[in-house]
Amino acid sequence: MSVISDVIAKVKQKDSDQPEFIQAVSEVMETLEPTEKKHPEFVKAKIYERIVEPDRMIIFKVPWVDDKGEVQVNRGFRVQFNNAIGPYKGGLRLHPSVNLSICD
Amino acid sequence: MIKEQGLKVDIALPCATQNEIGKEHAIALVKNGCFCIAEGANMPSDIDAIKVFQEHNVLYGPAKATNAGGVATSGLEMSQNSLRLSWTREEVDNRLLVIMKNIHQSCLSAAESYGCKGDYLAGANIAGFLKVAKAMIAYGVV
Repeated sequence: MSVISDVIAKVKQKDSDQPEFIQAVSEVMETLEPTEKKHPEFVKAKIYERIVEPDRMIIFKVPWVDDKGEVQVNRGFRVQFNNAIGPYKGGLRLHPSVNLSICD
Repeated sequence: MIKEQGLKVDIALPCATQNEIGKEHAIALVKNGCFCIAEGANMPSDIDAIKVFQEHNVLYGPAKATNAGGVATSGLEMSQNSLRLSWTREEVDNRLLVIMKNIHQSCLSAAESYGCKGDYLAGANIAGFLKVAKAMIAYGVV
């Protein structure tokens, strides 16, 4: 079993409730197979295991007042995944379908 | 979503959300003459759709590369803030053009050096991964 297939299996087990995250990890990891043989230093430093784990996830309350003056409350998600090459970046999405898996 | 038979398509730019294009949509696009897909959202094509594009030699630009312009421009905004400078629209556009050309070149060369020449998806993933992985090695265990 390659390190990469092992990592995919572990994510499926650990984050079984996050289908989009599993899909994203699997799709990327499968194309990274050629790097595993060429870079034993990545395997040794456990880069494949570490790169699929976000630095941190922030879940927060968003209270606001709508056009009718009614108070509303929503849940916000921010996943800061990896800042090894620069600041955390990403878009802002306001939608009922947003969840942790999609932000991940 | 394009499922209708005979609606001619040259280029498709899926720009809304994840998993917009599945296998059946991909087949419909190819049948209707689509020769280029450039993604403008996160993961708009699922893996079966990507396989259809690759099997039919459709020019497939994966989001990690083709949708990087937004993040790159946001990076340019941060640079302007730090420099206390305001660039003209043309200046920003020229810098963005250089960034996008470099991304394209990185995808091409990564794909070639790792035995999957012409595969933009593998190229984008490998080039992006190498950049982050090497930085992580440099940082050590943090």
